[in-house]
Formats: sequence, C-alpha cells, structure tokens
Amino acid sequence: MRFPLSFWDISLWLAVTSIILLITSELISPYYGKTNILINKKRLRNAALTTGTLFLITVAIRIYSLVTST
Amino acid sequence: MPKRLVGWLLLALGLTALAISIIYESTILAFIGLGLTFWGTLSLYISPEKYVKQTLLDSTTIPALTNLNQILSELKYQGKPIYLPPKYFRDFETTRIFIAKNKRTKLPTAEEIQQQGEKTFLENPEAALITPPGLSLSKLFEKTLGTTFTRVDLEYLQQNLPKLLIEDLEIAENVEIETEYKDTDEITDSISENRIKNNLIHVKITNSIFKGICTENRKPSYKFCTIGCPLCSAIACALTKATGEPIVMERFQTSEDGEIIETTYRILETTEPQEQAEKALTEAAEIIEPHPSRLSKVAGLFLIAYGSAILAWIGWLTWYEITTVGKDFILIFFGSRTNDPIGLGIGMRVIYYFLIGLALLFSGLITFVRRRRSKV
Repeated sequence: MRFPLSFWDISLWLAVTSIILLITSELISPYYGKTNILINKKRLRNAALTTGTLFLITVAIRIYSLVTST
Repeated sequence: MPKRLVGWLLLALGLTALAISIIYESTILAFIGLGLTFWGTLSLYISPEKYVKQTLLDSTTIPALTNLNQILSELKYQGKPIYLPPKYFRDFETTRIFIAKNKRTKLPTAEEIQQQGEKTFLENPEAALITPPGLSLSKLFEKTLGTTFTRVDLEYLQQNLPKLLIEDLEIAENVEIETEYKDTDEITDSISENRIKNNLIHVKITNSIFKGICTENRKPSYKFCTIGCPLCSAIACALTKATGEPIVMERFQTSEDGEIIETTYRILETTEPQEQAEKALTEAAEIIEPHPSRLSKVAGLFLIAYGSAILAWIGWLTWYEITTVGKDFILIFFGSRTNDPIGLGIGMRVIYYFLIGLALLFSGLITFVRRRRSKV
C-alpha cells in the first residue's frame, strides 16, 4: 500500500489546476463587467494564486535537483 | 445549502477515491480522488456570503431618505447640505451634514459647533446636524481598506476607491474619480464667503447597485437631494475625512437609463486658522488605534530580510574566498561559476546576486519610506 502519485505527477496536476483556476478567476473578474456568478471571487483568486505558487515551488525544486545533480 | 451539500459530497467521494487508490495502487483513481477532493474543498471555500436582492435594498432604503427629506422640508430648512469633517466634532471618526435654517447663514467655525455639543438641532446659528445616510457605508470602506480616511489624502482615495467599489465590494461596474483645482475669488453664495478655493471632484459611477435609490433621490420632489444616496453620501464622507475640509455636493447627472451617475463634489477650503483643529486631530491620531497597511509592512520587511540575507551571504562568501582560496574581489564578483551550484546552470555570477540583493533591500526600504510618508 503506497500513494500511487509521484512528486512530478502532483506537479503536473497543480499546473493544470492552477491554469484552470487562474483563467476562471480572470474571466469572472468584476473589471470585465458584473457577472451573475455568486461566488466569493476574492477567495477563488487566492486559491488560484496558491495553486500557481505551489506549482512554481515544485518547478524550483526541480531546477534545484537538476543543478545539484550535475 | 445544496451548494454546500455538493461540496461535501465531492469531498467525501474524493477522499474515498484516494483511499481506494492507495489500497489498489491505482494512478487514475488517485488523480480522480485528488481532483474531487480539491474541487470539493474549493467549492466549500468559495461559497458566497449572504446576498440580498437589489429590489429589497431599494425598498428598504428609499423610505428613510424620503422621511429625512420630508422632515427637513417641513421644518423649513433652506440651506445647502454641507458634509463636515471630523475636526468639527469631538468624535474624530465621524462626519455629519450641516443644514442651515436660513439660506444666507454662514458655516460656523469648528469651535462654535463643538461648543454646542452633539446636538442635532443647533441654536446659534439655527441649523441641523444630521448623520449622513452613507456614514456606515464609508466606515465599511475604511474597514475593508484597513485604514481610516482621516489618515489618507485625496490621492489615496483616487487610487483605492475605484478598486474598492469595483473589486472588493462589487458595488459598481466602473468608478472614475477626477479632481479639478481652480482658484477663484468669486463669492457665489453665503457658503463661499470665507473660502479661497473651489476644488472640484468629479465622480462617475457606472452601473451601481444603488442606481435605483440614486435615481429616486434625484426626483424634483426631493428638496434635499444633495444629501445624496447612500453611495454618493459615503463618497462625500470619505472625501471630507480625507481632505479635512467641508464638502458640498454640487452637481448631479444621471444617464437616461440610470446606469451612469455623475456627481461633482466641491471642497470648501476654509481660510480661518486651524491650529486648534490640527492639534486636536494629532491628539486623536495618537489615541486612535493605528491601522497600518499590514500587507505593505510585511512586503517591506520581507524584501529587506531577503535582500539582507543575500548580501550577508555574499559578504560571507567573499570573506571565505579571500581568506581560504586567496581570490581577489574582481574574480569573486565577476568570475564564471559554471561548475558551481551558485551558477544554477544559467551562468549566474556573484555580481548578479549582489545586484539582486541590493535591489531587494532598496525596494524594501522604499516601501517603508512610502508608508511613513502616507502616514504623515
């Protein structure tokens, strides 16, 4: 019994999720006119930024591992 | 409630799928579980605050404004409503509207108003001091921005009010604030008698949630329409607090469909000595709990700490390489580090780190200096 996803699988999943969330958050931004979607847009943006940051951290870890392995 | 139910359902399904994926070591199930758990949690996290219908807002607010108008009309108040800044009162966080009984009555000094206490109806001169309909809304603005308008200036309002109204509170679709400064010696009415400047502020609001109330308030039957709807009144409160001067709503324009509301505010700058009021404001600023812009403070500290850490590391590296390896400064700073982890595989040199460290340190310091200036 072990968790079947590797670190890079999660990194890829984070990348896809963050892109979806960032695009959604940008499209429903009040600056493009009021939308009738009743969600907390600020929280959605925060979630998008958090997943984006997490993905960038995984990228940084990847770069670090590449540099140190040489 | 069903929305939250969906969230919980997704979360439960996701966790189950994750558990099964661990038991059977299935990658696909793990992805599905991860996705369901994430979206379930997200849907619970982004669920909206309580919303009310706009029609409900209109029908509950309009009667209060109508009443205010009727009372003032029946009491035969004829003066133009003037928004007074906190320096006119003992409570340094409030603003009130001054309406003189007589059209020709001059605006009394801050001292004269303070002497008469917190009365609603003043006797000398005969006038009314009423609470603006947008006072609570302006306090909500302050709470959301994490500051008090007595500590900011007009420029701050110009930069932050549109974002606040559009993005944070979603009150309007677009907000534009423009200032117009013009010196004039003209004395147009009793209000301007002891003024030297007429500074105008134009506010254009597009598709506001208060458009129904605003349109209603501007009907000819509303004698005191220059008190404003809650939104226009809240903006007037913010302006009078930020400028520290009395404000008058000068002109209104509403588009045919009521979507665009344009309001012009006039700042009445007093020529009388204000040492006492300024002193009182300074005292108040010491008493009132500070509302620092926490984000800029944290950002500034973070930049300074980061910059300092990089510079300290460069200092240690330089010292180490001079004393142990015997390198000189030029070689240390400009020498190639291709085979070193410092190079990061992209040709980084110590000088680049040094410049990054300096940039971070100065950015942090500038953030701090700007904060201090805005406080002053």
